[in-house]
Amino acid sequence: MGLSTRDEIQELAAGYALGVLDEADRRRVESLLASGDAELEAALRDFGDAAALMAHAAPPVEAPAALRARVLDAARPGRRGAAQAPRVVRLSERRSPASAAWTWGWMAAAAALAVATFVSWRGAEQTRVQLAETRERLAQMERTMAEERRWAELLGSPHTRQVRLTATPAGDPRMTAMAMYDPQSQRAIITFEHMAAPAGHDYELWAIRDGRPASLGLIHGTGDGPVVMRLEGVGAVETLGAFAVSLEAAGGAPTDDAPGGPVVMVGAVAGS
Amino acid sequence: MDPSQTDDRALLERVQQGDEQALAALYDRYTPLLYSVALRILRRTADAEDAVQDAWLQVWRRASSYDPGRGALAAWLLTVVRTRALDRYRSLASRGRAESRVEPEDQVAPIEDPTRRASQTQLGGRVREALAQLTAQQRQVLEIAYFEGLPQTEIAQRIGAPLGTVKSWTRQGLSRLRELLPQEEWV
Repeated sequence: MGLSTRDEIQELAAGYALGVLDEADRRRVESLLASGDAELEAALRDFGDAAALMAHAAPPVEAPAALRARVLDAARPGRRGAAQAPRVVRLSERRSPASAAWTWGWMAAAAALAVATFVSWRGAEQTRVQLAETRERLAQMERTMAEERRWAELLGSPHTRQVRLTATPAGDPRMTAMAMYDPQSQRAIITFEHMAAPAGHDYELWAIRDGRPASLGLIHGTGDGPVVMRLEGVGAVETLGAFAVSLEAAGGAPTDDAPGGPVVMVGAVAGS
Repeated sequence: MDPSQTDDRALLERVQQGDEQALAALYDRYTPLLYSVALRILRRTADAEDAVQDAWLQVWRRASSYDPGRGALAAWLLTVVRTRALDRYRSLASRGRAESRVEPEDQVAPIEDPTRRASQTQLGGRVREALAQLTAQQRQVLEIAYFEGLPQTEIAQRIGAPLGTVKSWTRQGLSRLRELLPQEEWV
């Protein structure tokens, strides 16, 4: 990338933290983040904190009292757009569906440890309480494992369709995504790569149903690993035409039914 | 973890569940700072109010988009309102309405509540003291960057300095701010 000095990396990080880098420099930062540049990551953390301090340089003023009523009135039930949004099950960013077996193994070990811990305790009352707690933990683990199995079954289902999302001319050509969509359960697992959004922006995922977009949530990528989203209620196969990704201002599009920024990735659902 | 951050997360979880009282609590806690930033960017109270309202409605609709791993709630709220305000400013500028950026166009009320004023102005005072210790050029590029959101090439044109110099002043200014304001004092 032609970056060799610490000062150059620090300059890029400072501009990125303030969201004022020019396009070429912004792409350099994202490329370096994608390659796992630890020095740049550290500099971004430091400068991100310092940039946020600038907010306190604004002269403190009182917001009009009427504004509070306006905001709360606009937010009252019935006007809450997110109520219709599909539920997004967030995962840690480095986790992938392939980790399910490892997760189950860990849970089994944890359950065994919980039981071993229980039998070593003394005192009937203490034991009774701990037994109840252990049973509850095991029940929770079983529920979690059942949920994990349901997601794992999606990957092995003969009905599951693969949808590859590719960058549009408005997107970074390095971005890739693969969606595994099960028409029967209307669930999907989507894995993204190289999805670090520019400072002050977020990528947002959309389902295109009957030609109309519906938000499936924000994609929280840092560029240093895959991002996996598990989605429920993505849509019936008869209506689901495609998945798309848009680049939005931080926090996402103003509404759940229309991207506010450019569409940067798209992938059609075959046979819909 | 700072207890106030734990409290913030609990409130935000309730906001995700549609709890209007939790939204009101967060509003009361952060709006003085958010509104001050929006007004500093937009200079007109009506525009600042719109930007702050847009930001809070976005928080209400999209609270699940907050990722604690990327920073404190306050930083996320500031990002949301700054983005909304800068977008609005650019839109107004393109229509020729944001011509003056020297003095506030509207008269505004300073914060009256002594407790709230103290909490907001304490750190604000330290930040302004720290900014005063930067060079005039460092302070200028940081203020243009944060409150106007101009790309560095445009900042360079605005102040008549080479692009490389603007990058250098930006780095030096933020580094100096961090030195003058250790993180443990950011409360």
